[in-house]
Amino acid sequence: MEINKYKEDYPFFKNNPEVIFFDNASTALKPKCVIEAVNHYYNDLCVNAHRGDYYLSYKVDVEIEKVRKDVAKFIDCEENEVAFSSGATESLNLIAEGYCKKILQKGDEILISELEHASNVLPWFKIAKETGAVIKYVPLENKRITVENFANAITPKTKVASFAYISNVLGYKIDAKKMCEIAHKHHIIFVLDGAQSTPHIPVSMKDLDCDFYAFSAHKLGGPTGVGVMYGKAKYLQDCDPLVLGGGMNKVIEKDGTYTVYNSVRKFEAGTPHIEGILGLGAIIKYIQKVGFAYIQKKEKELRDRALTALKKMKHIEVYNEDNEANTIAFNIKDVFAQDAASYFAKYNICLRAGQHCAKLTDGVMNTYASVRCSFYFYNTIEEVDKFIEVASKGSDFLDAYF
Amino acid sequence: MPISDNPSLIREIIMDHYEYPRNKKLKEDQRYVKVNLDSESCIDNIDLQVLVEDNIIKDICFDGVACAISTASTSIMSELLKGKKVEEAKVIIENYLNMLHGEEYDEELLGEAAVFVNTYKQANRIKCATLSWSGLKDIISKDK
Ligand SMILES: Cc1ncc(COP(=O)(O)O)c(C=O)c1O
Repeated sequence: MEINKYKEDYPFFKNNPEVIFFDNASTALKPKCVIEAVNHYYNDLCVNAHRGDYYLSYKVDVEIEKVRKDVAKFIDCEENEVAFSSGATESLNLIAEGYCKKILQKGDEILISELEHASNVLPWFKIAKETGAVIKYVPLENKRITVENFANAITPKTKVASFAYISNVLGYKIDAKKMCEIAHKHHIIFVLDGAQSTPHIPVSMKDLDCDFYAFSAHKLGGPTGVGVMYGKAKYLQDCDPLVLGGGMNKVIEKDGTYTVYNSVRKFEAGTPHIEGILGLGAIIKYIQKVGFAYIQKKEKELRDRALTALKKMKHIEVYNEDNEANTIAFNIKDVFAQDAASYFAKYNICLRAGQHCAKLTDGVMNTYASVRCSFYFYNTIEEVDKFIEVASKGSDFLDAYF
Repeated sequence: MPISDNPSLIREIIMDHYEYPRNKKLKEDQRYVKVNLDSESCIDNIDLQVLVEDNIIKDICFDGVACAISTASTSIMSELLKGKKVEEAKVIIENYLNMLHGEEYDEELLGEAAVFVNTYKQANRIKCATLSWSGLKDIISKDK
């Protein structure tokens, strides 16, 4: 049997020994060090941040700022470009609402794609409505966003472009660096949704040169409810906070005037999600220790094995065998995705059924559902083999119901 | 023998209604009340259309994409409740929902719908089996 040394770091497996967790794209499991970091706050610190009048509070501030530094190193940017948020969703809303809305005028264009997660669609719809800007979609090529199609979709009115670096739909990775370079030639603000890329590939803000980047801690195995908005310092200057309150204002006058800190702190009104931030620090350290080289090697090994087997099964259809990521989107032929996911669930295999695919036909959105299987480095070959065995019998899917 | 005691018959009925759903076609008729039913917990998405006249459910039809349990339960409901008086239908729906939630009910009233008797053991499918039934209940309750 394969010994996966990382598996031992995850209490989840001890507490759920029968569960095979292949829904890592939804959220990743949490290693002990993350739970310990959260407990550390509640056991040892407990007090509020930004109240540096006594030692413990000062220590909370120091630990939070240490995480900011660690995040900056992790995604290769400056500390003053890292704002904590509640997750990728809030970060994307903040980017759209706080900055992009201010630069958009009636008729301007926002470029996205049909592969985007709702969190990278709805905030743009909202500000488009409010400013009179227009949403445009980059035409897909074999389900992919290509550099050429992106370049061709740009018009003099394009002001903002926002894409998932790796899509949650099918796991295709975009050539973000090249696209960003083209965007900047046209003075377009280039936003990357890093929710699915951050857990699996090393990213460098300096190298990619994107203007904003968003991710959630929980998809790496950190706590839920905490994430990061990266923005280039020059844009954060002009970016308005979505939420106002304590901890972010300098001066408040009775007549209603106020000034806010001219730093990332202005995006962090209220008592922060302190234990979440400390947990984020822990998962970053942990992921760096495991290393992206190992993460990618292991994911590829698991995915290749599953894919090779699935492709041999006549009753299985795979939609994304040419992707770069850790996910396989498939269906059992003639079985609704949700019934298929329930069938796997009966064997304690956690997969996700969803409308992962959007297809434009005659200008109408026809959505169809598929089952998504997504791996992370703590998964094992044995788990994949069990999955293959269950998949091979999948034609009798209603068994799960009886 | 009641349907609920016959596993192979249960399977046969569900598969039949899933593969050949009855009344699965929407009508172009303004007199129908139409609602879209979807679920926050899954990807079932059904449009349900109902025609109530003289306090009688004259027609029920539907369309959409949904799982086997959801599709079959809607199909069975459409056959069972078509032609029933609104008050009768309400009683049947109440009994059906009770069955789904593991409460007391009268199987006699439920006809083929009794095939969903064991759903309460599979919490994640209860929503599928009740989506349309709850939707219809809302429509005919609102009419009053
Ligand atoms: C591509 C992508 N963007 C954004 C999100 C939103 O992340 P969160 O729910 O953590 O805010 C997700 C999560 O599924 C995602 O996959």
